[in-house]
Amino acid sequence: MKKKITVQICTGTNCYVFGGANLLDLEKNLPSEVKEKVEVKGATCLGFCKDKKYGKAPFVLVEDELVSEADVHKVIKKVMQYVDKVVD
Amino acid sequence: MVDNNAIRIKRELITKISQLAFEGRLVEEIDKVPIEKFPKGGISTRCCVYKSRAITKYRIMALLGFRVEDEEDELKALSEYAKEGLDRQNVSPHVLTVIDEACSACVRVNYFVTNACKGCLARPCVINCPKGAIEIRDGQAHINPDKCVNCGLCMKVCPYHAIIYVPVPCEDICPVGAISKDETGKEHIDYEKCIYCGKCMVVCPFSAIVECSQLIDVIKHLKSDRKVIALFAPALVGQFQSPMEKIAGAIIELGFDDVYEVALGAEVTAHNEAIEFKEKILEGENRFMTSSCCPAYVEMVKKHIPELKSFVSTTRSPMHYTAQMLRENFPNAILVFISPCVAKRNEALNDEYVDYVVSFEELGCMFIAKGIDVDSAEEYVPKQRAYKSGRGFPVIGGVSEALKYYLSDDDKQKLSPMTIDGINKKSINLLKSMVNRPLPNVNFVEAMACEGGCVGGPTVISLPKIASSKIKRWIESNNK
Repeated sequence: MKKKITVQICTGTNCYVFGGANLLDLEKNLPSEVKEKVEVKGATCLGFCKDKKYGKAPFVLVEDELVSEADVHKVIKKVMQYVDKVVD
Repeated sequence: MVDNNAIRIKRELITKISQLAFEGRLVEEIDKVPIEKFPKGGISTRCCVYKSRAITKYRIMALLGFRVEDEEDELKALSEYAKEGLDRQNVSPHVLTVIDEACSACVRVNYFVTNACKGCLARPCVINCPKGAIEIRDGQAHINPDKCVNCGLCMKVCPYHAIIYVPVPCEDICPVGAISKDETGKEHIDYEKCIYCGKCMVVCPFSAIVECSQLIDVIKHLKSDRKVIALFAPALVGQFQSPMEKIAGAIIELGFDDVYEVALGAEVTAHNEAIEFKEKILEGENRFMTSSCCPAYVEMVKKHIPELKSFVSTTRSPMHYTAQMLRENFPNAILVFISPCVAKRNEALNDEYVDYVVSFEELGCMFIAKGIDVDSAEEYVPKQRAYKSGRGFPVIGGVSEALKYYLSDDDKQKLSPMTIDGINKKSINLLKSMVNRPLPNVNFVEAMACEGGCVGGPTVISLPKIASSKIKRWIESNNK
Protein backbone atom coordinates (compact mmCIF):
# COMPACT_ATOMS: atom_id res chain seq x y z
CA MET A 1 0.00 0.00 0.00
CA LYS A 2 1.23 3.47 -0.83
CA LYS A 3 2.06 5.64 2.11
CA LYS A 4 0.88 9.20 1.71
CA ILE A 5 2.64 12.33 2.91
CA THR A 6 0.53 13.90 5.61
CA VAL A 7 0.13 17.66 5.62
CA GLN A 8 -1.64 19.10 8.64
CA ILE A 9 -2.77 22.72 8.37
CA CYS A 10 -3.44 24.28 11.74
CA THR A 11 -6.84 25.96 11.72
CA GLY A 12 -6.58 27.32 15.25
CA THR A 13 -7.69 30.93 15.42
CA ASN A 14 -4.18 32.42 15.52
CA CYS A 15 -3.03 30.45 12.47
CA TYR A 16 -6.28 30.97 10.61
CA VAL A 17 -6.31 34.76 11.01
CA PHE A 18 -2.64 35.03 10.05
CA GLY A 19 -2.99 33.19 6.78
CA GLY A 20 -3.98 29.61 7.56
CA ALA A 21 -7.23 30.51 5.83
CA ASN A 22 -5.35 30.85 2.57
CA LEU A 23 -3.78 27.41 2.86
CA LEU A 24 -7.10 25.63 2.69
CA ASP A 25 -6.93 25.44 -1.07
CA LEU A 26 -3.40 24.04 -0.90
CA GLU A 27 -4.51 20.78 -2.49
CA LYS A 28 -5.56 22.60 -5.62
CA ASN A 29 -2.12 24.16 -5.90
CA LEU A 30 -0.15 20.95 -5.60
CA PRO A 31 1.57 19.81 -8.78
CA SER A 32 -0.69 17.21 -10.37
CA GLU A 33 1.93 14.45 -10.25
CA VAL A 34 2.20 14.65 -6.44
CA LYS A 35 -1.44 15.28 -5.63
CA GLU A 36 -2.27 11.63 -5.05
CA LYS A 37 0.78 11.15 -2.87
CA VAL A 38 -0.29 13.80 -0.40
CA GLU A 39 -3.04 13.89 2.17
CA VAL A 40 -4.00 17.41 3.29
CA LYS A 41 -5.88 17.72 6.57
CA GLY A 42 -7.10 20.63 8.63
CA ALA A 43 -6.12 20.32 12.29
CA THR A 44 -7.48 21.97 15.39
CA CYS A 45 -4.97 24.21 17.19
CA LEU A 46 -1.63 22.39 17.23
CA GLY A 47 -0.37 24.64 20.03
CA PHE A 48 2.76 26.02 18.35
CA CYS A 49 1.46 29.60 18.70
CA LYS A 50 1.84 29.30 22.48
CA ASP A 51 5.64 29.32 22.33
CA LYS A 52 7.64 31.99 20.47
CA LYS A 53 10.49 29.58 19.80
CA TYR A 54 8.49 27.94 17.02
CA GLY A 55 8.26 31.21 15.06
CA LYS A 56 5.13 32.85 13.77
CA ALA A 57 1.74 31.56 12.67
CA PRO A 58 0.43 30.05 10.48
CA PHE A 59 1.90 26.63 11.25
CA VAL A 60 1.80 23.57 9.05
CA LEU A 61 3.13 20.10 9.78
CA VAL A 62 4.49 18.22 6.81
CA GLU A 63 4.84 14.72 8.26
CA ASP A 64 6.59 15.69 11.52
CA GLU A 65 8.42 18.73 10.19
CA LEU A 66 7.12 22.14 11.21
CA VAL A 67 6.70 24.96 8.72
CA SER A 68 6.19 28.35 10.37
CA GLU A 69 4.86 31.48 8.64
CA ALA A 70 3.60 28.97 6.16
CA ASP A 71 2.36 29.91 2.75
CA VAL A 72 1.41 27.74 -0.20
CA HIS A 73 4.89 27.90 -1.75
CA LYS A 74 6.75 27.08 1.44
CA VAL A 75 4.53 24.08 2.10
CA ILE A 76 4.80 22.75 -1.43
CA LYS A 77 8.58 23.08 -1.27
CA LYS A 78 8.63 21.02 1.92
CA VAL A 79 6.24 18.46 0.45
CA MET A 80 8.50 18.06 -2.59
CA GLN A 81 11.40 17.15 -0.30
CA TYR A 82 9.33 14.20 0.90
CA VAL A 83 7.91 13.15 -2.43
CA ASP A 84 11.05 11.29 -3.47
CA LYS A 85 11.11 9.39 -0.20
CA VAL A 86 7.61 7.95 -0.63
CA VAL A 87 7.85 4.26 -1.35
CA ASP A 88 5.66 3.23 -4.24
CA MET B 1 -7.12 37.23 3.70
CA VAL B 2 -3.44 37.26 4.51
CA ASP B 3 -1.81 36.92 1.14
CA ASN B 4 0.87 39.51 1.69
CA ASN B 5 3.19 40.92 4.28
CA ALA B 6 1.35 44.24 4.63
CA ILE B 7 -1.77 42.51 5.94
CA ARG B 8 0.34 40.47 8.37
CA ILE B 9 1.91 43.61 9.83
CA LYS B 10 -1.50 45.22 10.13
CA ARG B 11 -2.98 42.23 11.96
CA GLU B 12 0.03 41.93 14.27
CA LEU B 13 -0.56 45.52 15.33
CA ILE B 14 -4.31 45.07 15.79
CA THR B 15 -3.56 42.05 17.99
CA LYS B 16 -0.97 43.95 20.02
CA ILE B 17 -3.18 47.00 20.59
CA SER B 18 -6.13 44.77 21.55
CA GLN B 19 -3.96 42.88 24.02
CA LEU B 20 -2.74 46.08 25.66
CA ALA B 21 -6.27 47.47 25.78
CA PHE B 22 -7.71 44.30 27.31
CA GLU B 23 -4.94 44.21 29.90
CA GLY B 24 -5.35 47.90 30.72
CA ARG B 25 -1.74 48.70 29.77
CA LEU B 26 -2.46 50.75 26.67
CA VAL B 27 -1.36 54.19 27.89
CA GLU B 28 1.71 52.81 29.70
CA GLU B 29 3.02 50.56 26.95
CA ILE B 30 1.88 51.99 23.63
CA ASP B 31 4.91 54.21 23.02
CA LYS B 32 7.17 51.15 23.13
CA VAL B 33 5.36 49.26 20.40
CA PRO B 34 6.99 50.85 17.32
CA ILE B 35 10.44 50.26 18.83
CA GLU B 36 9.67 46.69 19.87
CA LYS B 37 8.44 45.99 16.34
CA PHE B 38 11.54 47.50 14.75
CA PRO B 39 14.47 47.33 17.19
CA LYS B 40 17.87 48.79 16.36
CA GLY B 41 19.79 46.38 14.17
CA GLY B 42 16.63 44.49 13.32
CA ILE B 43 15.02 44.01 9.95
CA SER B 44 13.27 47.00 8.46
CA THR B 45 10.64 46.87 5.78
CA ARG B 46 11.58 50.38 4.65
CA CYS B 47 14.83 52.29 4.17
CA CYS B 48 15.70 52.00 7.87
CA VAL B 49 14.15 51.01 11.19
CA TYR B 50 13.50 54.67 12.00
CA LYS B 51 11.17 55.12 9.07
CA SER B 52 9.46 51.83 9.89
CA ARG B 53 8.94 53.04 13.45
CA ALA B 54 7.52 56.37 12.27
CA ILE B 55 5.05 54.61 10.01
CA THR B 56 4.15 52.15 12.76
CA LYS B 57 3.33 55.12 14.97
CA TYR B 58 0.88 56.39 12.38
CA ARG B 59 -0.65 52.93 11.96
CA ILE B 60 -1.27 52.84 15.69
CA MET B 61 -2.73 56.35 15.60
CA ALA B 62 -5.35 55.09 13.12
CA LEU B 63 -5.97 51.99 15.25
CA LEU B 64 -6.63 54.32 18.18
CA GLY B 65 -9.25 56.02 16.02
CA PHE B 66 -7.35 59.12 14.89
CA ARG B 67 -6.82 60.42 11.40
CA VAL B 68 -3.18 60.78 10.39
CA GLU B 69 -4.12 63.92 8.42
CA ASP B 70 -5.21 65.58 11.67
CA GLU B 71 -1.80 65.36 13.34
CA GLU B 72 -0.87 68.84 14.55
CA ASP B 73 2.01 68.19 16.89
CA GLU B 74 4.57 65.63 15.78
CA LEU B 75 5.83 65.38 19.33
CA LYS B 76 2.47 64.19 20.62
CA ALA B 77 3.09 60.70 21.92
CA LEU B 78 0.91 57.67 21.22
CA SER B 79 0.20 57.45 24.93
CA GLU B 80 -1.50 60.84 24.73
CA TYR B 81 -3.60 59.70 21.80
CA ALA B 82 -4.45 56.52 23.70
CA LYS B 83 -5.56 58.52 26.72
CA GLU B 84 -7.72 60.79 24.58
CA GLY B 85 -9.16 57.77 22.82
CA LEU B 86 -10.06 56.04 26.06
CA ASP B 87 -11.65 59.22 27.42
CA ARG B 88 -13.77 60.08 24.41
CA GLN B 89 -17.51 59.53 24.63
CA ASN B 90 -18.24 59.82 20.94
CA VAL B 91 -16.83 57.59 18.30
CA SER B 92 -14.31 58.98 15.81
CA PRO B 93 -16.32 60.47 12.94
CA HIS B 94 -13.81 59.28 10.32
CA VAL B 95 -13.73 56.09 8.30
CA LEU B 96 -10.45 56.08 6.38
CA THR B 97 -7.09 57.76 6.67
CA VAL B 98 -4.03 57.91 4.43
CA ILE B 99 -0.63 57.47 6.06
CA ASP B 100 1.32 59.93 3.95
CA GLU B 101 4.68 58.67 5.23
CA ALA B 102 3.83 55.22 3.98
CA CYS B 103 2.51 56.46 0.64
CA SER B 104 4.39 58.33 -2.11
CA ALA B 105 6.24 55.30 -3.37
CA CYS B 106 4.14 55.21 -6.52
CA VAL B 107 4.88 56.73 -9.89
CA ARG B 108 3.59 60.12 -10.91
CA VAL B 109 3.53 59.14 -14.54
CA ASN B 110 2.04 55.79 -15.51
CA TYR B 111 4.33 55.22 -18.50
CA PHE B 112 7.88 54.08 -18.01
CA VAL B 113 10.68 53.54 -20.51
CA THR B 114 12.48 50.28 -19.76
CA ASN B 115 16.01 49.25 -20.70
CA ALA B 116 14.61 47.53 -23.76
CA CYS B 117 14.60 50.96 -25.41
CA LYS B 118 17.17 51.07 -28.19
CA GLY B 119 16.99 54.80 -28.83
CA CYS B 120 16.09 53.86 -32.39
CA LEU B 121 16.30 56.01 -35.46
CA ALA B 122 12.53 56.03 -36.05
CA ARG B 123 11.71 57.33 -32.55
CA PRO B 124 7.95 57.05 -32.93
CA CYS B 125 7.53 57.82 -29.23
CA VAL B 126 9.14 61.27 -29.62
CA ILE B 127 7.24 62.03 -32.79
CA ASN B 128 3.82 60.83 -31.60
CA CYS B 129 3.87 62.35 -28.12
CA PRO B 130 1.29 65.14 -28.28
CA LYS B 131 2.94 67.04 -25.44
CA GLY B 132 6.56 66.82 -26.51
CA ALA B 133 7.29 65.05 -23.27
CA ILE B 134 9.84 62.55 -24.59
CA GLU B 135 13.47 63.20 -25.33
CA ILE B 136 16.39 60.94 -26.09
CA ARG B 137 19.25 61.13 -23.65
CA ASP B 138 22.24 58.77 -23.47
CA GLY B 139 20.74 56.65 -26.21
CA GLN B 140 17.38 56.05 -24.53
CA ALA B 141 13.99 57.73 -24.39
CA HIS B 142 13.04 59.62 -21.25
CA ILE B 143 9.58 60.84 -20.28
CA ASN B 144 9.39 64.27 -18.68
CA PRO B 145 6.86 63.89 -15.85
CA ASP B 146 6.04 67.59 -15.91
CA LYS B 147 4.79 67.39 -19.48
CA CYS B 148 3.36 63.83 -19.68
CA VAL B 149 -0.44 63.57 -19.56
CA ASN B 150 -0.61 59.76 -19.31
CA CYS B 151 -2.18 59.29 -22.75
CA GLY B 152 -0.23 56.10 -23.45
CA LEU B 153 0.47 56.78 -27.13
CA CYS B 154 4.21 56.22 -26.68
CA MET B 155 3.58 52.73 -25.37
CA LYS B 156 1.35 51.88 -28.31
CA VAL B 157 3.81 53.04 -30.97
CA CYS B 158 7.06 51.63 -29.56
CA PRO B 159 8.20 48.84 -31.90
CA TYR B 160 10.22 47.21 -29.11
CA HIS B 161 7.45 47.21 -26.49
CA ALA B 162 10.02 49.04 -24.41
CA ILE B 163 7.50 51.38 -22.77
CA ILE B 164 5.30 49.87 -20.12
CA TYR B 165 2.23 50.94 -18.17
CA VAL B 166 2.89 51.14 -14.43
CA PRO B 167 -0.34 51.41 -12.49
CA VAL B 168 -0.91 53.28 -9.25
CA PRO B 169 -2.85 50.47 -7.56
CA CYS B 170 -5.20 52.61 -5.46
CA GLU B 171 -6.05 54.98 -8.32
CA ASP B 172 -6.41 52.05 -10.67
CA ILE B 173 -8.89 50.13 -8.53
CA CYS B 174 -10.97 53.04 -7.23
CA PRO B 175 -14.21 52.68 -9.20
CA VAL B 176 -15.17 56.34 -8.80
CA GLY B 177 -11.92 58.29 -9.20
CA ALA B 178 -11.93 59.41 -5.59
CA ILE B 179 -8.23 59.04 -4.89
CA SER B 180 -5.49 61.10 -6.47
CA LYS B 181 -2.08 62.63 -5.77
CA ASP B 182 -1.42 66.07 -4.39
CA GLU B 183 1.46 68.23 -5.61
CA THR B 184 3.92 66.26 -3.46
CA GLY B 185 2.85 62.92 -4.91
CA LYS B 186 0.93 61.70 -1.85
CA GLU B 187 -2.51 60.23 -2.32
CA HIS B 188 -5.60 61.99 -1.00
CA ILE B 189 -9.15 60.73 -0.79
CA ASP B 190 -11.89 63.03 -1.99
CA TYR B 191 -14.77 62.29 0.35
CA GLU B 192 -17.23 64.03 -1.96
CA LYS B 193 -16.60 61.09 -4.28
CA CYS B 194 -15.52 58.22 -2.00
CA ILE B 195 -18.05 55.39 -1.58
CA TYR B 196 -16.09 53.60 1.18
CA CYS B 197 -15.81 50.35 -0.76
CA GLY B 198 -12.37 49.82 0.79
CA LYS B 199 -10.78 48.58 -2.42
CA CYS B 200 -7.89 51.08 -2.20
CA MET B 201 -7.14 49.91 1.33
CA VAL B 202 -6.90 46.28 0.25
CA VAL B 203 -4.85 46.87 -2.86
CA CYS B 204 -2.22 49.35 -1.60
CA PRO B 205 1.07 47.38 -1.48
CA PHE B 206 2.39 49.73 1.21
CA SER B 207 -0.81 49.53 3.26
CA ALA B 208 -0.88 53.31 3.34
CA ILE B 209 -4.67 53.53 3.44
CA VAL B 210 -6.17 52.30 6.67
CA GLU B 211 -9.38 52.46 8.67
CA CYS B 212 -9.90 54.71 11.67
CA SER B 213 -10.61 51.97 14.13
CA GLN B 214 -13.05 51.89 17.04
CA LEU B 215 -11.22 48.98 18.63
CA ILE B 216 -10.22 50.63 21.91
CA ASP B 217 -13.65 52.19 22.38
CA VAL B 218 -15.24 48.76 22.10
CA ILE B 219 -12.69 47.06 24.38
CA LYS B 220 -13.21 49.82 26.94
CA HIS B 221 -16.94 49.07 27.02
CA LEU B 222 -16.34 45.31 27.11
CA LYS B 223 -14.43 45.84 30.32
CA SER B 224 -17.10 48.09 31.81
CA ASP B 225 -20.39 47.20 33.50
CA ARG B 226 -22.43 48.38 30.54
CA LYS B 227 -24.32 45.75 28.58
CA VAL B 228 -22.56 45.29 25.24
CA ILE B 229 -24.26 43.36 22.44
CA ALA B 230 -22.59 42.05 19.28
CA LEU B 231 -24.63 42.00 16.07
CA PHE B 232 -22.81 39.93 13.50
CA ALA B 233 -23.14 40.15 9.74
CA PRO B 234 -23.99 36.66 8.41
CA ALA B 235 -20.73 36.61 6.40
CA LEU B 236 -18.96 36.07 9.73
CA VAL B 237 -19.99 32.43 9.75
CA GLY B 238 -17.70 31.90 6.75
CA GLN B 239 -14.70 33.45 8.48
CA PHE B 240 -13.82 30.54 10.76
CA GLN B 241 -13.96 26.82 10.28
CA SER B 242 -16.02 26.27 13.42
CA PRO B 243 -19.83 26.24 13.65
CA MET B 244 -21.73 29.50 14.20
CA GLU B 245 -22.45 28.58 17.84
CA LYS B 246 -18.70 28.31 18.55
CA ILE B 247 -18.04 31.69 16.93
CA ALA B 248 -20.84 33.20 19.00
CA GLY B 249 -19.34 31.54 22.09
CA ALA B 250 -15.93 33.04 21.33
CA ILE B 251 -17.57 36.47 21.05
CA ILE B 252 -19.12 35.95 24.50
CA GLU B 253 -15.66 34.99 25.84
CA LEU B 254 -14.38 38.38 24.62
CA GLY B 255 -16.73 39.99 27.12
CA PHE B 256 -19.83 40.70 25.05
CA ASP B 257 -23.02 40.20 27.04
CA ASP B 258 -25.02 38.85 24.13
CA VAL B 259 -24.84 37.98 20.44
CA TYR B 260 -27.48 38.46 17.75
CA GLU B 261 -27.60 37.55 14.08
CA VAL B 262 -27.98 40.45 11.65
CA ALA B 263 -29.68 37.84 9.47
CA LEU B 264 -32.73 38.67 11.62
CA GLY B 265 -32.76 42.19 10.21
CA ALA B 266 -32.07 40.80 6.74
CA GLU B 267 -35.46 39.07 6.92
CA VAL B 268 -37.11 42.45 7.55
CA THR B 269 -35.14 43.92 4.63
CA ALA B 270 -36.21 41.08 2.32
CA HIS B 271 -39.81 41.30 3.50
CA ASN B 272 -40.00 45.06 2.88
CA GLU B 273 -38.20 44.72 -0.41
CA ALA B 274 -40.72 42.11 -1.58
CA ILE B 275 -43.66 44.39 -0.76
CA GLU B 276 -41.98 47.29 -2.53
CA PHE B 277 -41.17 45.10 -5.53
CA LYS B 278 -44.80 44.07 -5.85
CA GLU B 279 -46.03 47.66 -5.55
CA LYS B 280 -43.53 49.37 -7.80
CA ILE B 281 -42.72 46.73 -10.39
CA LEU B 282 -45.48 44.16 -10.59
CA GLU B 283 -48.34 46.59 -9.99
CA GLY B 284 -46.62 49.90 -10.69
CA GLU B 285 -44.91 51.61 -13.57
CA ASN B 286 -41.23 51.08 -12.74
CA ARG B 287 -39.27 48.78 -15.01
CA PHE B 288 -36.84 47.58 -12.37
CA MET B 289 -35.74 47.98 -8.76
CA THR B 290 -32.33 47.54 -7.16
CA SER B 291 -31.38 46.23 -3.73
CA SER B 292 -30.26 48.66 -1.04
CA CYS B 293 -28.43 46.53 1.53
CA CYS B 294 -24.88 47.19 0.27
CA PRO B 295 -23.89 50.59 1.70
CA ALA B 296 -21.07 51.16 -0.81
CA TYR B 297 -23.52 50.65 -3.66
CA VAL B 298 -26.05 53.04 -2.10
CA GLU B 299 -23.30 55.62 -1.59
CA MET B 300 -22.17 55.15 -5.19
CA VAL B 301 -25.68 55.83 -6.49
CA LYS B 302 -26.04 58.88 -4.25
CA LYS B 303 -22.73 60.41 -5.30
CA HIS B 304 -22.30 59.23 -8.87
CA ILE B 305 -25.61 58.16 -10.47
CA PRO B 306 -28.24 60.29 -8.70
CA GLU B 307 -30.65 59.63 -11.55
CA LEU B 308 -30.68 55.95 -10.50
CA LYS B 309 -31.77 56.76 -6.96
CA SER B 310 -35.49 56.38 -7.63
CA PHE B 311 -34.83 52.78 -8.71
CA VAL B 312 -33.11 51.84 -5.45
CA SER B 313 -35.26 50.14 -2.84
CA THR B 314 -36.13 52.44 0.04
CA THR B 315 -35.76 49.52 2.47
CA ARG B 316 -33.20 50.03 5.22
CA SER B 317 -30.35 47.60 5.72
CA PRO B 318 -30.27 44.38 7.77
CA MET B 319 -27.87 46.06 10.22
CA HIS B 320 -30.32 48.91 10.76
CA TYR B 321 -33.33 46.71 11.45
CA THR B 322 -31.40 44.41 13.77
CA ALA B 323 -30.06 47.37 15.74
CA GLN B 324 -33.51 48.96 15.87
CA MET B 325 -35.01 45.78 17.31
CA LEU B 326 -32.24 45.54 19.92
CA ARG B 327 -32.44 49.22 20.82
CA GLU B 328 -36.16 48.85 21.54
CA ASN B 329 -35.49 45.90 23.82
CA PHE B 330 -32.26 47.16 25.41
CA PRO B 331 -32.35 50.98 25.38
CA ASN B 332 -29.11 51.35 27.35
CA ALA B 333 -27.02 48.64 25.74
CA ILE B 334 -24.01 49.34 23.53
CA LEU B 335 -24.59 47.87 20.09
CA VAL B 336 -21.51 46.72 18.18
CA PHE B 337 -21.82 45.63 14.58
CA ILE B 338 -19.34 42.96 13.43
CA SER B 339 -18.61 43.87 9.85
CA PRO B 340 -16.93 42.55 6.73
CA CYS B 341 -16.63 45.97 5.19
CA VAL B 342 -15.53 49.58 5.38
CA ALA B 343 -18.74 51.09 4.03
CA LYS B 344 -20.70 49.77 7.00
CA ARG B 345 -18.53 51.99 9.23
CA ASN B 346 -19.82 54.96 7.31
CA GLU B 347 -23.38 53.65 7.38
CA ALA B 348 -23.14 53.05 11.15
CA LEU B 349 -21.84 56.60 11.75
CA ASN B 350 -25.09 57.82 10.24
CA ASP B 351 -27.32 55.20 11.84
CA GLU B 352 -29.27 56.19 14.91
CA TYR B 353 -29.05 52.77 16.56
CA VAL B 354 -25.57 51.31 15.96
CA ASP B 355 -22.88 52.51 18.37
CA TYR B 356 -19.69 50.88 17.10
CA VAL B 357 -18.30 48.76 14.29
CA VAL B 358 -15.62 46.08 14.59
CA SER B 359 -14.27 44.50 11.42
CA PHE B 360 -13.91 40.76 10.89
CA GLU B 361 -10.13 40.95 11.02
CA GLU B 362 -10.29 43.05 14.17
CA LEU B 363 -12.56 40.46 15.77
CA GLY B 364 -10.13 37.69 14.79
CA CYS B 365 -7.21 39.64 16.26
CA MET B 366 -9.20 40.33 19.45
CA PHE B 367 -9.68 36.57 19.85
CA ILE B 368 -5.93 36.04 19.52
CA ALA B 369 -5.19 38.89 21.95
CA LYS B 370 -7.36 37.21 24.56
CA GLY B 371 -5.99 33.75 23.81
CA ILE B 372 -9.36 32.51 22.57
CA ASP B 373 -9.38 29.62 20.12
CA VAL B 374 -12.76 29.69 18.38
CA ASP B 375 -12.94 25.95 18.01
CA SER B 376 -12.35 25.40 21.72
CA ALA B 377 -14.92 28.02 22.74
CA GLU B 378 -18.03 26.95 24.58
CA GLU B 379 -20.99 26.95 22.21
CA TYR B 380 -23.47 29.78 22.56
CA VAL B 381 -26.84 29.62 20.86
CA PRO B 382 -28.18 33.12 20.09
CA LYS B 383 -31.62 33.46 21.63
CA GLN B 384 -33.31 34.43 18.41
CA ARG B 385 -32.70 32.20 15.44
CA ALA B 386 -32.72 33.62 11.92
CA TYR B 387 -34.22 31.94 8.90
CA LYS B 388 -32.54 30.72 5.73
CA SER B 389 -33.57 33.81 3.77
CA GLY B 390 -31.68 36.25 5.99
CA ARG B 391 -28.62 34.09 6.37
CA GLY B 392 -28.13 33.93 2.61
CA PHE B 393 -27.56 37.68 2.14
CA PRO B 394 -23.72 37.69 2.17
CA VAL B 395 -23.27 35.46 -0.87
CA ILE B 396 -24.04 37.02 -4.25
CA GLY B 397 -27.51 35.95 -5.37
CA GLY B 398 -28.66 35.58 -1.78
CA VAL B 399 -30.75 38.75 -1.70
CA SER B 400 -32.71 37.72 -4.79
CA GLU B 401 -33.24 34.29 -3.26
CA ALA B 402 -34.47 35.88 -0.03
CA LEU B 403 -36.96 37.99 -1.95
CA LYS B 404 -38.58 34.80 -3.26
CA TYR B 405 -39.43 33.69 0.27
CA TYR B 406 -41.58 36.76 0.67
CA LEU B 407 -43.32 36.73 -2.73
CA SER B 408 -46.38 34.67 -3.56
CA ASP B 409 -45.88 31.68 -5.89
CA ASP B 410 -47.32 33.69 -8.76
CA ASP B 411 -45.18 36.76 -8.13
CA LYS B 412 -42.10 34.62 -7.66
CA GLN B 413 -42.40 33.53 -11.28
CA LYS B 414 -42.36 37.15 -12.37
CA LEU B 415 -39.13 38.00 -10.57
CA SER B 416 -36.24 38.11 -13.00
CA PRO B 417 -33.12 39.16 -11.13
CA MET B 418 -29.63 40.01 -12.25
CA THR B 419 -26.56 40.64 -10.10
CA ILE B 420 -23.97 43.39 -10.08
CA ASP B 421 -21.14 41.20 -8.80
CA GLY B 422 -18.71 43.89 -7.71
CA ILE B 423 -18.67 47.63 -8.33
CA ASN B 424 -16.09 48.68 -10.86
CA LYS B 425 -15.90 51.19 -13.70
CA LYS B 426 -17.62 48.75 -16.05
CA SER B 427 -20.56 47.90 -13.79
CA ILE B 428 -21.04 51.59 -12.98
CA ASN B 429 -21.37 52.29 -16.70
CA LEU B 430 -23.87 49.47 -17.05
CA LEU B 431 -25.96 50.84 -14.17
CA LYS B 432 -25.80 54.36 -15.66
CA SER B 433 -27.08 53.11 -18.98
CA MET B 434 -29.93 51.23 -17.32
CA VAL B 435 -31.58 54.47 -16.19
CA ASN B 436 -32.60 55.29 -19.74
CA ARG B 437 -32.34 51.87 -21.30
CA PRO B 438 -33.48 49.23 -18.81
CA LEU B 439 -32.37 45.75 -19.73
CA PRO B 440 -35.10 43.54 -21.14
CA ASN B 441 -36.00 40.64 -18.83
CA VAL B 442 -34.50 42.26 -15.74
CA ASN B 443 -36.77 43.67 -13.06
CA PHE B 444 -34.58 43.28 -10.00
CA VAL B 445 -30.90 44.18 -9.62
CA GLU B 446 -28.96 42.78 -6.69
CA ALA B 447 -25.96 45.09 -6.36
CA MET B 448 -22.87 44.24 -4.33
CA ALA B 449 -19.74 46.38 -4.18
CA CYS B 450 -17.53 43.37 -3.46
CA GLU B 451 -17.12 40.46 -5.83
CA GLY B 452 -18.95 37.43 -4.53
CA GLY B 453 -20.93 39.55 -2.06
CA CYS B 454 -20.00 40.42 1.53
CA VAL B 455 -17.83 37.28 1.76
CA GLY B 456 -15.45 39.18 -0.53
CA GLY B 457 -15.38 42.22 1.77
CA PRO B 458 -12.20 44.22 2.44
CA THR B 459 -11.66 42.92 5.99
CA VAL B 460 -12.44 39.24 5.55
CA ILE B 461 -10.26 36.44 6.92
CA SER B 462 -11.32 33.48 4.78
CA LEU B 463 -10.98 33.03 1.06
CA PRO B 464 -14.35 34.13 -0.37
CA LYS B 465 -14.94 30.76 -2.05
CA ILE B 466 -14.36 28.87 1.17
CA ALA B 467 -16.52 31.31 3.14
CA SER B 468 -19.35 30.98 0.60
CA SER B 469 -19.43 27.21 0.77
CA LYS B 470 -19.31 27.26 4.58
CA ILE B 471 -22.27 29.66 4.63
CA LYS B 472 -24.18 27.54 2.15
CA ARG B 473 -23.63 24.46 4.31
CA TRP B 474 -24.79 26.44 7.35
CA ILE B 475 -27.97 27.51 5.56
CA GLU B 476 -28.67 23.97 4.34
CA SER B 477 -28.30 22.57 7.84
CA ASN B 478 -30.93 25.07 8.92
CA ASN B 479 -34.35 23.52 8.49
CA LYS B 480 -36.42 26.64 8.59
